[in-house]
Amino acid sequence: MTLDPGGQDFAEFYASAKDDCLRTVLAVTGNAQDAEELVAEAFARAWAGWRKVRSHPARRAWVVRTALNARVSRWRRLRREVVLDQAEFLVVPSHVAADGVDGDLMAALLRLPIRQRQVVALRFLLGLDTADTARTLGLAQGTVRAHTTRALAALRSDVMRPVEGER
Amino acid sequence: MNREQDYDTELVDELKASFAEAVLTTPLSATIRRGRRLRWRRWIGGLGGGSVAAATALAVVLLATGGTSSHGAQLAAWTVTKRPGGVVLVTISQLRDPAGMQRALRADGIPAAVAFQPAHQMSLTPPLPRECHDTGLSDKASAELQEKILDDGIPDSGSFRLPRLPDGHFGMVVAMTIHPAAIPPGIGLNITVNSAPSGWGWSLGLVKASRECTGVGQPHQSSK
Repeated sequence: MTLDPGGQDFAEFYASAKDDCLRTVLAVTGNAQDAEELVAEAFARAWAGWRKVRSHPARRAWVVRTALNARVSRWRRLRREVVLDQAEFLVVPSHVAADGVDGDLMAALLRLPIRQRQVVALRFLLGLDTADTARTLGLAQGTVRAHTTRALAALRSDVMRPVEGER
Repeated sequence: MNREQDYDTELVDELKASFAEAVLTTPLSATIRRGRRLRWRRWIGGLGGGSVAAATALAVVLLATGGTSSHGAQLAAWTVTKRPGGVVLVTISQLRDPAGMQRALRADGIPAAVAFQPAHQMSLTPPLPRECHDTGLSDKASAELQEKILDDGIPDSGSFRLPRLPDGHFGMVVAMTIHPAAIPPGIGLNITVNSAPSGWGWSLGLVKASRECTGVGQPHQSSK
């Protein structure tokens, strides 16, 4: 397949961003198969709308947000229930472990409230700063910082071994 | 550095390391294909592209009654046929006379701009004709509307038969069914068909309907 300049641009973006996007969605969903499917779908949508997406200021965040939104749509269709405002991205109980991902850490992530999990995933796996995380999730920056602090504290107590020398 | 930051750094590093082996296995080509379907673009390789018998470009084959077999018949370069229920079936087997096809679509109530582009390099993002303009719809809204307007292929009505060429190939390489009633006021279709040694491709996009672009609608007003 020969790609025109727009296609080459997309190919480079895909190569550089696909794994970070997958890791981010995986951390939120806890399901490797779902994450693969959702991120693949999101990149396909990015390609379908590349004329606009290519100029988006945070393209990787766009892909992740699209993937998580697609999950919500699928969940709503399956369960036919109204999604609560506080649970914008619902949790699917099944957990399909991904190769290499620490099971305890994944379980700890899934125990976090959904918003905290999203913030941790976007801040540390996708590498977004507070401002971009806030924009992506539709939150205030102060809220993102609060979620970050609480999430790390919860993870810390859940999975971290005591620092050497501490009782 | 205090204890909290030590933990944070260690925790974040452990988090990143834990996910480091997770990789997206879907290849780029599959993503491109999937995106193409979303954009209503289809590739059919080598079906009759260079071997279709010459025919009158302006012929319109009536298929609605399911009558005449077209086996061995001369083929039109394209056909635009209004079916019962108001849907319009479009078939293309030669890249000839796009203006004629455009006129036929407009006559059937479809505001359309049609371009045929023989090319050595398939463009996956053909630019809009200069006289056409984006609708301004979101990608999601655009995709949903396109799903209502366009069916990729031939409706399974049983009354349409693919014409066969003497060499056995199907004489049609592109088929689409358009639902004119689903096209909202102010919206038109931009149809581009091109060919390359690797095969054929076509795309359908939504544009603002205007006299200059789709033959109907208000003259386009340039924003200042």
